[in-house]
Amino acid sequence: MSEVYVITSGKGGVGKTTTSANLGAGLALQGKKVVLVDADIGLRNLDVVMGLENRIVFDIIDVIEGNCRLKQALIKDKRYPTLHLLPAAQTKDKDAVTPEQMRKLCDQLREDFDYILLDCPAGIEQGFKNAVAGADKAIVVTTPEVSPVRDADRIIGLLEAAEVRSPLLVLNRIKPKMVERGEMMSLEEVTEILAIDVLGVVPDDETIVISTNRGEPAVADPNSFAGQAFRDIVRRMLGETVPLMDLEANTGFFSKFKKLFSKA
Amino acid sequence: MAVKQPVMIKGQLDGINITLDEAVDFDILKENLRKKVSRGRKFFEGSNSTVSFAGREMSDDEEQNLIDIILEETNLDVTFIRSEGFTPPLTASPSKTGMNAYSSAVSSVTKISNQFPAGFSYRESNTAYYKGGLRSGQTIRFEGSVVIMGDINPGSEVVAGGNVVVLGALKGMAHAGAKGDLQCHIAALDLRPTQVRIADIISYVPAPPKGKKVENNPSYAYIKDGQVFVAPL
Repeated sequence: MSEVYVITSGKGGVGKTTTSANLGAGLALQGKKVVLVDADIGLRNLDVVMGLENRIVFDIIDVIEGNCRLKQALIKDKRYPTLHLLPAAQTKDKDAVTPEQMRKLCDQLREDFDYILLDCPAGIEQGFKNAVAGADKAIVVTTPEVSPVRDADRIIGLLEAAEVRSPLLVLNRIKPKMVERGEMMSLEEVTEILAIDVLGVVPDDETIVISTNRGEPAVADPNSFAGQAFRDIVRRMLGETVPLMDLEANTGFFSKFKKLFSKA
Repeated sequence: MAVKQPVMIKGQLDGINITLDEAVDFDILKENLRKKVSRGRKFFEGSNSTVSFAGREMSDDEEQNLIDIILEETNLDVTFIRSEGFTPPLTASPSKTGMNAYSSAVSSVTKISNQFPAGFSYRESNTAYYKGGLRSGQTIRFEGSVVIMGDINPGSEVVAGGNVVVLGALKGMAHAGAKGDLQCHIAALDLRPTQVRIADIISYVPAPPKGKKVENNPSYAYIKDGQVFVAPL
């Protein structure tokens, strides 16, 4: 039975696309058939983050308008044999799609894939409505700051109204040292406000910037701290019970090294 | 008479030509191809090539099947798939057999309705001039040739029935000869597009090796023997 997840946040720039790319690649590394759908029409990014921009010939709008068949628009990622990308159109805008068309597209994708991940645009307008229309489940991404959490709260309300039940939280870009000093919201403070189940916590990691710019998801990098967090999230999505990362023990350079060796 | 092989692979100047026996069952053909390409892995090593099929009519799925086998077994970077005897249709919708995703994408542009960003300046005979750059999401479409004085950023598109000349950096997608003319070219002072298309042929420029400085020599892309070449201006 395939599952359709929408990855959303309300606020822009909190890591929806990075999360989508990493979870997609991570699920594919586990052998699942995955399709990443970029629902951010007009501001497409997922193809760039995945390093697949130059292979786009058709996009989601071509599929919806019937200019091509679905299979022609799916870009196969050579690095992960079971991962596909359906890119957004760049020269159109959100109004080019209706929620009904999105729902139909997702149903079509269900036939071939185990996991369908929809990378939702920021905002609560048409783009959000489209992305949510086809989804059964939602992953809400936020960073531990007041305004993204406020927007996430709004999004959770809208998801409930759209009957996407029990969304899961990914708390992104947390800085354990700042939390320790009481300068940043902790996971507990965030969940107290949002009151949803936690899917994972991703530490702030400079290497994410590098991997994103190179178009290589961090999840495949065994040395990446954030990559480890995404691998844990993937295992939770697959039904395993994985404890949350002990962030404090891993903040130092040395402990990071120690962790590497203890694993080997 | 020599026994005819179900799959024959020939390296040619413009890529690799694979001749398939029409009478053989497709599954046998697939196995045969797999054996051949895995044995000849060295032959395919790291090259960047056009693959063409001949001798048999195939559906898109069948063709994709064979391409997948080649990709799985070798390091070959297939930049374009051609089917023998294919000519880009100018008006009618492309026929299904012997076509692939790429060529049908391109040849579907049969009529170009002119489209310019605000500030379009001057058009003469069959060439349009545009002063200014294109940002992500912006498009220029013109039935003739297009000359642009400015940079074409990634995520933007220039589609021309004729040539594309960019007096600036071309980093987005450019399509010359969109109505099927293989003689068209794409020139830029700094040519590093996400993708270039000429007539029905699509190619993308591989990313430069890490740490190597990209030189921006004025150059142009053209078609020779069914493949995209880049030469300095």
